[in-house]
Formats: sequence, C-alpha cells, structure tokens
Amino acid sequence: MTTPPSLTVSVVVPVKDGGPLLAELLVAVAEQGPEEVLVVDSGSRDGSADVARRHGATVVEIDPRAFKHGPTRNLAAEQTTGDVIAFLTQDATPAPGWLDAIRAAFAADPDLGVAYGPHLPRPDTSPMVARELTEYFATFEAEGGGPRVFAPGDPTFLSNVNAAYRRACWEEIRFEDLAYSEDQAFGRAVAVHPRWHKRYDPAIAVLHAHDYPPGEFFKRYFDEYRGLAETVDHHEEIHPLHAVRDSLARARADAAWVGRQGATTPEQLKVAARATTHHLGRRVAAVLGSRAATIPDPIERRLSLEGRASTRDATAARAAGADQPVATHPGERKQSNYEHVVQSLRKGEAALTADGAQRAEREQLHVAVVIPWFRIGSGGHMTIFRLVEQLESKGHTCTLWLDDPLGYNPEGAAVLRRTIQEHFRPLNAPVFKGFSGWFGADVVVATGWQTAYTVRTLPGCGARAYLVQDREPDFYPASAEHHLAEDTYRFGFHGIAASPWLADMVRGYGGTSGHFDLAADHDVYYPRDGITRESATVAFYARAETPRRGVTLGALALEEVVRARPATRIVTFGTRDAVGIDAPSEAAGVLDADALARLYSQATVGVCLSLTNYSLIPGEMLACGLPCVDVDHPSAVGVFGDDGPVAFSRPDILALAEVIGRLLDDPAERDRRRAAGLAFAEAHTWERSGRQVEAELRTALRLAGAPD
Amino acid sequence: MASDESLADENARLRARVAQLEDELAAVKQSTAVTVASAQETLYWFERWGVDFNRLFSRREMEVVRKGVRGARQVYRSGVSIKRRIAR
Repeated sequence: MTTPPSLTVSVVVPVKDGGPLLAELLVAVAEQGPEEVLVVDSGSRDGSADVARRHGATVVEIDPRAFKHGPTRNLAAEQTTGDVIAFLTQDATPAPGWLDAIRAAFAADPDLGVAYGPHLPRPDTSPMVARELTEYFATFEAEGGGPRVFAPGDPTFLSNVNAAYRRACWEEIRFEDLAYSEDQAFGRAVAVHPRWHKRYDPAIAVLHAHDYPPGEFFKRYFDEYRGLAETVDHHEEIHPLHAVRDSLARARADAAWVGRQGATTPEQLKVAARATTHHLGRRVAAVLGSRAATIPDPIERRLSLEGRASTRDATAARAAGADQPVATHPGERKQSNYEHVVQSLRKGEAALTADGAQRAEREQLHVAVVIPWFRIGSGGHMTIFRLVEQLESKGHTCTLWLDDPLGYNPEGAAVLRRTIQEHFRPLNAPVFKGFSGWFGADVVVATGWQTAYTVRTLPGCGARAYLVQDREPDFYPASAEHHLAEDTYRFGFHGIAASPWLADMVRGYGGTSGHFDLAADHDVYYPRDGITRESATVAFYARAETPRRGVTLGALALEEVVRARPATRIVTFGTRDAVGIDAPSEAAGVLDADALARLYSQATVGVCLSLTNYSLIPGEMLACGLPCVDVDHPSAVGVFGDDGPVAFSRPDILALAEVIGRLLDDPAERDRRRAAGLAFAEAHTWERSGRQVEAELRTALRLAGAPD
Repeated sequence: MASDESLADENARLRARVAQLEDELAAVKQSTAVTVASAQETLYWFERWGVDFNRLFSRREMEVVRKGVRGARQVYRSGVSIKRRIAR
C-alpha cells in the first residue's frame, strides 16, 4: 500500500491489569510497525507495565484514582508525537492490515479527523454477542459494503476500543472530561465540525468481543447502561411484555445465525435457550443500570463489574470546585442554539408593572429566580440556591424557573427539585421547566447571561434584577458569546453583584447595582481540633479546567518556592487531572467539604488565584484559620483589603513565589493574617449575604417604581 | 365640596380595594408555589422512574386489562350481593 512516509502513527493503549490479551495486542501492534506505542498504566497489579516495556512500549504510570477515560486519553495523546493517534483498549487485538488501513485512510483525505473500524468476534465469543457485533458494525458500512465517510445527520457513533484521530483534529476538539463515553462525545463534536469528518473502514478491524459467564454479562450491561445514564442521561423504559417479546425474537435470530454457520438443530436449541436468558438479563440490567443512582450503594456495587457505586464526583466537586461558573455548556454551538436570544431581541422587553414602589414595602415578596441548566457540583448554582434559602428563611416566596432552551437538563421538574434539595440546598421552592406556566413575580432575577435574555421578556413583574457572580463575557475569547454576554449588562436590570468590583462593573454599563458578599459555611469550615498545622505545606487550588484560576501561574510560582525551599510540601486539590508542577507534589483530587476543611486546618499556606471575581475558596480557607495567597485583582483586594487576611501578589511568577515563600518563612505574618482571617470569616455569613440580597431586591423594586 | 369629598372617599375605597386584591393575588401566588412544590414532592418517584400512568393506561393492552379488572370486580360484587341475600 502506498503511503506518504511523513504520516506517523502513535498507538495508545490505556491499561489496568491487561492480562494475557495485552501481550497478544502488543505483539500484533509491533508486527504492523507503528512509529510509537504508548501504554498508560493506571495501577496494574499483574505486571502489565513490565509486559508493555518488554514489548518495546513506552509506559506512563498514573495513579488509578486519576484515571478518567477522557482526561487520561488527552494526557496520553499529549505524550505522543504521531500525526495520527490510534487508541486501542487493552483487549482489542488489531487484525492484519489494521495500521496500513489507518495510514491509507488519513493519507488519502486531509480533512479526515477520525477513523474507526469493526470489532470482530474472537473464536470463543458467544453467538449472541458475535451476531450482534457483526450485524451492528455492518450498519456503518457504505451501501453495498466497504468504507463510508459520514455526513452531517449520519450516526455519530465512535468507539475508542479502536479509533484513530488526526492529531490536529484531536487538538481542536479533545476528549471531554467525562468518566465514560468520551468517544461518543467526540463523535458528536466531529459530526457538527465544519472541517473534520469521520470514516468507518472495515479494514481497520480489531478482534475484541469475547465471552463471559451469564453473571458477568449481566454486570457488564449494568455498567454500560449506568454509564449511559451518567453521561447522556439515558433511561431505559420499563416494558415487561415488550422485553420478553424482544428477547425471544433475538434468541430466534441468534439460533438462526448459528444455523447459518453450520450448527446442528440441538446446538441451535441450546443457543436459543442461552440467548433467551442472555437477552432477558440484558433488559433487566439495562433498566437497573440506567437507574443505578437510586439503588443503595452496597447493592449497586454487587451489581457492577466495575464494583463501584454511581459517579457522584460532581457532588464532591460542589465543595471543591465551589467557584464553577453558572453552567455554560462546553459542547457544540450552532446558530440555532441562540434562538431564544433572537426571540428575546425580536420580542423586546416586557413592560414592568407600575407598582414597584408599593411592592417594595411588602413584607413578603414573590421572587422568581431564573436559572440556567445545571449539573450537580455547579458552584455558581450553589450560591444561587444558598441565597434563595436565605430569602425563604425570611418568609419570601421563591420560585425557580429553569431556562434551558437546549434541553441539557432533560429531567422532569420534580426530579430537578429533588436534585437541588439533595445536592445543593433544601429549598421549599417549586421548580418550573420553561415558562408556559409563568405567573409573574414581584422581582424576577436573572442568574446568568443566557437567562437575562429570557428574563427581559417575562411579563407581570414589578422589577428585574440580575445576580452577577462573575464577569461572564471574560469566559469567552473575542466572540459572539462575549458580546451577547456583555450586552446583558445594558438591559437595565438592577445588578446584585458578588463583589463591589462587579457592582462597579455593572454601573459602568449604565445600570444600577449593589453587592453581596460571598460567605463560608461555618458548619463545615472552621479550624478543626486535633489536626496539627504543618510548618511547610501549601494547599494549592489547581482546578486548571477553570482558566480564570490561573493554575499555570500558581504552579510555576510553586516550582520556584520548592527550588528555594526543598522541604516544602505541595498538596493540589480541586481537580482530578494531572496538575503539571515540575516539583514533588501530592494530588488530593476533588475533595468533599469536610476533607477540604481538614486540609485547610492542616496546611501552612493556601494558594487560590482569581483572575476575575474572587472565589469562595479564600473565604473558606480563612474560616479554617489558613492564611491565603491570591493575586491582587481589584475584586479580591476590594473585599479583603490591601493588607488584611489575604496576602496579595502581582500576577507574576517570581512575585507570587516571593509572597508564598515569605508567608511560609514568617510565622508572625501568618499569625497576623490568620487572626484577621478568622475575624473576617466570622463577620461573613450566608445569613448576612441573604440580608444584603433582600435589600437589593427591594432597591430594584423602588428603582423600577420610581418616576423616570 | 361635597362632590370632592365623595370623590376622595371613592378614591380611597378603590385604593383599599386594589391593595386588598394585590394582597389576595400575593396569597394566591404563595399558595400556588406551595401547591406545586407539594405536587412535585408527591410525583418525584413517578418522574424519576419515568412512570407515566396516563400514557400507560392509554395503551390498547391496558384497556383489555381494565376491562378484565372491571369484569372481575363485577363478579366479586355480584358474589358479595348474592351472599348477603342468602344471609338474609
């Protein structure tokens, strides 16, 4: 096969206890001559890393707790150099001609972003799986068989069991930070990409399917459907009669298929019996797996081959990643995604009622809070719900309105409400999906730039307010989104901003505004008894997924600190991804609130950088008696003061290193800032923030009711 | 003068009425919020498990089941009635 010599291929295999199939895979890969083979081993105990090294692969070993399908593959791809990165799973043995087919496909088409191929059954594969796989992958072939290039609207299926990516395409899209189904997400992104496209090629084949005892099959399917529920919120419907009918039909098809392979009638009957059990078990596993979050953890672990309970990372992230923005989906954006923006602009602003001033004097207000879609763990939503909780405690009637025109939260309103109660705050407010039941409010509150477009069209309100938690246009580069977000500050809503700096920013656009202070939950964040504070430990908030946290800046500064003080212990938290500090450090990962409070009670200095509005985290560190270092952004300086509990530095690597080092070296300065921090934290409670917001809501009404 | 006074009284009466209606509206909104929240509390598991009884009972198979249940109930009630008559 003729291929340009410049097209190099790196093969990447994530491995954990690869077993005998790993050696088979590595031999098959080596025979085909890729330029590079990289094995990412996440804590194998069966010597897989050594097996890989013996077969000439480069091995990168990672902490098994750090493994996630998307980020780990990104990490692996970053370590390779090939023009094409071919991913295999540890039990997928390339068939002869696999690599040549990959090279040929990418060489022939410069816009080919990703190519994948079939999973062929191994000789011991059960007929049910073998038939299903064979027939399933045949559906991806072009009409009449052979390779197929997918067009928009075609299936977006993609499987990292056996898929190759052009480096430029991967660099542009990258795998999402998902625990599962990162390949499906990539497939969807490619499907709408203006340049890259996807190809299915029967010659890019691997031997993959193999047999399991019935119990293991059940658990595999349980895990598979649980993964679908966790990632795409798939819920298998319960249809007992249909399930039985369908299972029998599939069993008949399996028996016929083995018949065509030459099986005798008794063999066919045996297959039919086994297949009936298999398919019925699968239906049950699908129903249970897609509802796994409702199953008690000990039972769920028994039903799972992975032996884990449902992914609740996000619950923990709520505590650690408390500065996540109000959700903005990272996925594809099409023009139609902003249909609600266009509608809002066409429709214009709804008139306010004329009685704002009278409404302002009412003891109890009806506050309608319009929220964007959310995931468990959204720090921005946590703040919204904390404030709603405070308003409810003051006797106000609050209603929550989910503004989710793209349907990112497919759950019903009752489920969303329970999610809020269980994973955020125990609110009494009802949740409404959409605005078909809109019945007006004393004050309607926008809580994110997308919601502002909807809020301006809602009728029957005494006033409109805007809970501004950050300068959202800065979340985007120079783009349409940047301008659309910025325009919302000109809508004339009364801003209720999460810092004096933000309040000034809103006023800079010609609007009115006041502010509230972020607070710490004092039931959780307090200096823990019995934990000895160490003398040279830095707790570093390293959530690199949030660029405004300036993690690279902090990491580089900490390298300087360690260079000058080799005994410094660095503990990173707030992320499951590798942080990339070129110095010894410990990755604590995503911690729950209690573990965070313990870390803050143990560390010597906290580092949390905020390049826009200040984060909740410094306040929580201070509440635990931990002096903190931040950059001297006017937002944080305005809140904590020039020389108060937080030590500020210019956003400069050496200056930052100097401030961190000074705080590590000077116990007197630490004590002074610690005392100031505890006093600051004591004065800042969510109850107080609730009062501030309540006052601003009344101000919004008075301003709306005031004559022009 | 008298007409000015009656106009002022009328205005005051209407203002009081508007305030009363506003209060009633606020009470209705509050009670709506409480009712919807309570309904959502009740519906949680149905929604969570995707159980939609309206859709379920609109299926043809369910019509057969319902007829069967109605028939069985009729037979049962007839039996009970006959038993009572015999007992008399």
